[in-house]
Amino acid sequence: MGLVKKKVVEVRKEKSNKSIRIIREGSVEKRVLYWSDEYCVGCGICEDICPVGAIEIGPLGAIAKGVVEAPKLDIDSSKCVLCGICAAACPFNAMDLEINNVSIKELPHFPKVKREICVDEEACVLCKQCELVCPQEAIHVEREIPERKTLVLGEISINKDLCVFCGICADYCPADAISLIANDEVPLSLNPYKDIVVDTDACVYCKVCEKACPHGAIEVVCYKCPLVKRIKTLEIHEDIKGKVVVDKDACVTCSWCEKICPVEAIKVEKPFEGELIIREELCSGCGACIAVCPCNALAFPKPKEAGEKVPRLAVNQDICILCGACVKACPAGALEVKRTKGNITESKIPAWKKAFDKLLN
Amino acid sequence: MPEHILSGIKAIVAMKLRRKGKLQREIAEYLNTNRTEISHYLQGRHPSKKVLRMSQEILKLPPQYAVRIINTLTEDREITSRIIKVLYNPKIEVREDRCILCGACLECPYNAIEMDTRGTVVVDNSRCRLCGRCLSLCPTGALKLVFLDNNRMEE
Repeated sequence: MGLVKKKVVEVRKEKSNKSIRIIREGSVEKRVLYWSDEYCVGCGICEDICPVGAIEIGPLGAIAKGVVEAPKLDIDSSKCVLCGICAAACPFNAMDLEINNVSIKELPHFPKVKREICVDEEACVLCKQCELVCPQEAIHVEREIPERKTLVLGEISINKDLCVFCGICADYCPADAISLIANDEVPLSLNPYKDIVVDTDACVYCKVCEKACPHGAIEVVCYKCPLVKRIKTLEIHEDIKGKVVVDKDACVTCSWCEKICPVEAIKVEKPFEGELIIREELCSGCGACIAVCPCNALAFPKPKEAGEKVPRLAVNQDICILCGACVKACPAGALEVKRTKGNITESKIPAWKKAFDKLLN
Repeated sequence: MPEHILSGIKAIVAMKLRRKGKLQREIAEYLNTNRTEISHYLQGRHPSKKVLRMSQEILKLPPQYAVRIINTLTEDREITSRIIKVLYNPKIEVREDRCILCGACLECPYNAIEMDTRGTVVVDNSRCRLCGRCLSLCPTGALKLVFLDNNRMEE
């Protein structure tokens, strides 16, 4: 119609470095668009998908390195139409749109980018490997090991009448459980030691001292393994209790834990399939991509020996989630994300489907 | 002056309705006026030939321009929408491939636009007064006024 484009309902914006709220309160609908820094990795998917170009990503590399303090993105409230495509597309729970106080993520007709992580508690051996590698500290293994006393049971006795305080047992003891007490009455008393004690909290009843004692002064009985010399590992495993706790909001589904789990107890569904392309010749080595990557998937490889030729920048495609944060952060355009498939739920809204298809190439 | 043009256009609308077999009483009711005035329109006693000629010229314009002129003649959206409906049989269409469900159009002053639970925007053409507000609010150009009677589907 060519009429003058003007907004009749006021769009308000509340902004800080850590969050943005865009509010439009109309007569029929109240829409609030939220952005929070907490889970935002700066992937820029929202910027790419916004149909009106209202979102602008900040200087990510500098922010990640702590050189500047600025929000990772800004939303232009004069352009934003609060359609919520950005919130539905955000793979990291950094954005949400509420329509009349209902989150867009709960409305079934809107598509979303799916990611999932689940832990098979029965298969998990509580080895903590996943906790150690998680780049977002989103996975915690709460492990309860039974007290030593319940596993290591036995008796040790030293016959003081036979003991000559030679200290051979203490030298052999692998657990440093035997100590000789110095005699403070020398030279009035001639013995350099006055006593020998066993720390039963440290003793594993391994019988080494018993074998080592030249005077047959030590007697050891192990209750746990009267016949077998060592404690069966299986028994220990059965006694260890615990669980794996995943902070699904913080988890970026990089699948590092899945890859490292020795018993395949973790299943991770990544948001996209494809690859990250590095154009080495353009890379200046600034490290912005490494600082910004939520998965720690990028690194400058170090030569194993002097003179060995290594690429300038390398990515572990196995853990890269193709979010594109590095692409946005790179000042030289040395990175490119090629997404071949998206883990995106089916939508019947043609315009939304089209917008989501833009993320794939 | 705008009042004269409005009368001219009303007269043309009255004649069109008469040709469709509507009674004077029905026409008067539809255009929210009295039967005497309608009878004047139909017998060519009022408005003047000059005014009628100008009104006809306006209606020769492409519908989207004519509609804009008609909408400036009076603030009464009820009457203008009735006139436009007779002349052009217009309809607000939602292009689903463009609609991003932002909800801006729901601010329709006549509550003619609703979003259903499956996420589709539906326009109730009987409530629509063709004020054009939704068209100007839509950020993606997903709403379109089409004139079915003029056989012109383009803007």
